[in-house]
Amino acid sequence: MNLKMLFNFNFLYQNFKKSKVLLIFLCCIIPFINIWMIYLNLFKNNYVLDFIEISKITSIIAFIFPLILSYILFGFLLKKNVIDFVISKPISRKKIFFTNVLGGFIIIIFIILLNTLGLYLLSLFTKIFIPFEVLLDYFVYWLITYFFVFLVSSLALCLSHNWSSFILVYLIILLIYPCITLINYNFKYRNEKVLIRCNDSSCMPNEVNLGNNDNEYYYEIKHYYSNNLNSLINYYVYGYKNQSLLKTICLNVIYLILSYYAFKNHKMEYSESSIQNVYAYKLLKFITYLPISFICFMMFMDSISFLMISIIICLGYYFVFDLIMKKEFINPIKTLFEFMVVSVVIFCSYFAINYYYKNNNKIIDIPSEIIIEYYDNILNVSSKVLLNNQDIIKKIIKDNNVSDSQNNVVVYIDNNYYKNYYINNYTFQELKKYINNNKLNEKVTNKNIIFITADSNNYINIPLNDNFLNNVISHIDTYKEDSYTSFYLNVYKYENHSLKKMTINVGKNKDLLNYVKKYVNEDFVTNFNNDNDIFCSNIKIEFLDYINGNKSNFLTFLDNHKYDKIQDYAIIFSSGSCNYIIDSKILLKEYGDYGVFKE
Amino acid sequence: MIEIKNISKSFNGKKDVLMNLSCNIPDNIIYGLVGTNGSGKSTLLRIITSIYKPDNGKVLVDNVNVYDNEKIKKEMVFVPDDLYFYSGYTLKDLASFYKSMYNNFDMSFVYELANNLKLDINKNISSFSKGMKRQCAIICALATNVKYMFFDETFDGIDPIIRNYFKKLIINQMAKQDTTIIMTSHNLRELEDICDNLGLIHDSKIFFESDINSLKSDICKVQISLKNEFDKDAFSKLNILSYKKVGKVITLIVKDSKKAKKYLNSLDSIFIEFLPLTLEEIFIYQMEALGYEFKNVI
Repeated sequence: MNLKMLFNFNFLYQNFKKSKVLLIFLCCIIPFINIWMIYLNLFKNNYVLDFIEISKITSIIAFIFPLILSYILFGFLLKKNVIDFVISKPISRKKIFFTNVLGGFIIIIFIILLNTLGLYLLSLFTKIFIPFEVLLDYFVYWLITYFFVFLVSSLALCLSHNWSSFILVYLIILLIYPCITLINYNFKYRNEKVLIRCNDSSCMPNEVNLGNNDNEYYYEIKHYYSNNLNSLINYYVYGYKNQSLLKTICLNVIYLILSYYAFKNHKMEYSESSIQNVYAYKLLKFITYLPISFICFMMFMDSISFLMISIIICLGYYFVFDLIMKKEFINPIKTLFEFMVVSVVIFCSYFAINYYYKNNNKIIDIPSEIIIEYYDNILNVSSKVLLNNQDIIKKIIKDNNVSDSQNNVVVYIDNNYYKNYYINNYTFQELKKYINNNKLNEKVTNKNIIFITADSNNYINIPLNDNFLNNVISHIDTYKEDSYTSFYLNVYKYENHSLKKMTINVGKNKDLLNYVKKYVNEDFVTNFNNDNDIFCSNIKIEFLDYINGNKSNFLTFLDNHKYDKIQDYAIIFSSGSCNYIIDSKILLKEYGDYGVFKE
Repeated sequence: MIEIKNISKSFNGKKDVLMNLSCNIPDNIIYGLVGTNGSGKSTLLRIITSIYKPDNGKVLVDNVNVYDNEKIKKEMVFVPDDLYFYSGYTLKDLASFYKSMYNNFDMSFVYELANNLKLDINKNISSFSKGMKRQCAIICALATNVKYMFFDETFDGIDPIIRNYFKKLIINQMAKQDTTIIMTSHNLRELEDICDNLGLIHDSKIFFESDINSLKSDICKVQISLKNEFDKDAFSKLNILSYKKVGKVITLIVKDSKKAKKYLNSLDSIFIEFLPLTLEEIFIYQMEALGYEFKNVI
């Protein structure tokens, strides 16, 4: 197909040229802010960064940048004299539309590519490690998401004739679905009672008993949902794993087609004027009134003292909407009457939905699989594990002893519900045993390991090497939890678009320990010999214990003790950007007097 | 040729700005479009240049429907009344933009005119005065060398000297390139100077269209005084646009001046004088005849 049928590259060039200052500014500032913010968080987070961690700034910009971009390209639709200038030129509406869309896509590709490259360089020149798979996911996901927001804002522009209606339509198209979902979730999760059916004779009737049959008991669980505004943002940003990109691509195609027809049939003569169609205006007002009225309803449900303030907010909004959109109050008596009718309908509906969920007990059977969250005392972290062993699931659900708070686990079902369970020691040990075995079953090979860090209070990145990996993997089988550990290896692999971390207790296995020390030390010696300008402001010696030294002491120490004496090694971490290996016997001699170093 | 066929256009579903408007504009003329404020002159230009889509009817240019037709639009250029230039653009940038859009764009013409008019081609257009901005727009439009040019409020903001310079340029352009030029203006004196034809839009329609010479020769002002007593009925055979009697002297504005001259000369008059009308006077008397007058307001 001849590209000239759809695009006018001269027009594209002029579009870029007219906004070059803004585009260059945005293309520089956005990647800079993104990378700088990630860098600033370097010491607060893991050195190995996951998709979510590198997407925080990008996700906020996703709501703004494509909006600005679509305004640069399609903003002429909101000004009469710009319409005269552009549309009178010998270029068809079809070409203007597709050329502008292409322009938007090019800029988005460019900026996401810049961000990705910046992250890659960050990974290359700092201690931060961002796996290639994460970078690839970042590029693909944000490219499609930015396209999505760009097309939504372009559609909003093609449907609007002035600024206020543009912003309104943009927000409605973008947020209508998550907003309705949020409202529904709130009703559901605040009121609906969800029960697990248990008709086994071993069930303990310590929860809710609804059944007529004496042997049938129900365990109430709660909806798993965070009721805050972040959820709205999270719908687009953190829903990554739950959402199909294919769905977004399909929406992109739909919005592209809709935008094209909206642009082609855009009534240029109405630019700079508010929404012309009375019914469309009232519909938009109604849609935007939904979240406002919902918030007021929730406030009122929480406390009746909010009644007056809720009414003021709702009424105020109803009039302010006209003021924003039409720049005037449209017949106050009529508006007041309309407000009362609409509010009565909406609030009655809210009460009805509330009542429905309150009286609607949902009963589910014991699930075939659950996600269990438990606290790992050894690793000092809370771990989530998928559990599909029916025996253990049943035991956890039935054996719910509140008094034994030591063994607290959180059970998540269907990503929707959760419940805290307090289980007895026997069941807890059985659960841990199962989890350990389950971990062993995970396929870890030197092919899917993408990164290794040595972990204690600080991280040290270990370069990947096949022999090293094979050796580490051979020790994974010996993984056992221990009450004491001082040194771990974190093995990372990328699975289902998320970074998976497995922790190996190196201290438990002497062979592995020596191997890791030797491996890391050799790497250090090579690096140290090649670098004369090493500067470490804060030294920590790990593995045996901590010793804090300063620069001069440490450098003097290094000068006095050459590496040929090295028999046994400790691993030294620094909070700067270097790590060193020191003969632990020399360390003992040098710093032993301080009583902080013990073998 | 531009054929406008039964064009209708309304805004917000209210009264039609244009209603079943039809007219033909022949090639190689300068056509002046006049009408009162809000009569639909600019709307008609925007429909012809495919900015607005008519509710009904169509505009044919060289027998092809003009709406969203890129090929025909390559032969058209439009200078609107409210000008816009991309921010940060210089005259040179603007000319480059036009060059990229129009095949026959003459860059040297832009340089030459900019030099003659003392316009700095490397200076940001936004820093220019209103008149200078319009000069830039007209220069670029003329440099396109297209077949159809449309100017809305053509010389708005331009001083009389440069105005005359542009009039000459427009006439030269028409002669050189066989261009058809359609322009609107409220300054009828200006249109009188350069237009071949004139169309008056009133009440959503073209009220009349004619070539300027015929129009001017067709309507005349007569001052007459008759020997006998008389009233308005004495002139009932004439097509009178305006009738005023002061003492025994009557001032008439009559259409179909040949017939009027013949008839009035046949009357027994003390004196009779036929005076030519300017285009502006013709417009005012026509509009008065249509009930559009403000003399009672002041």
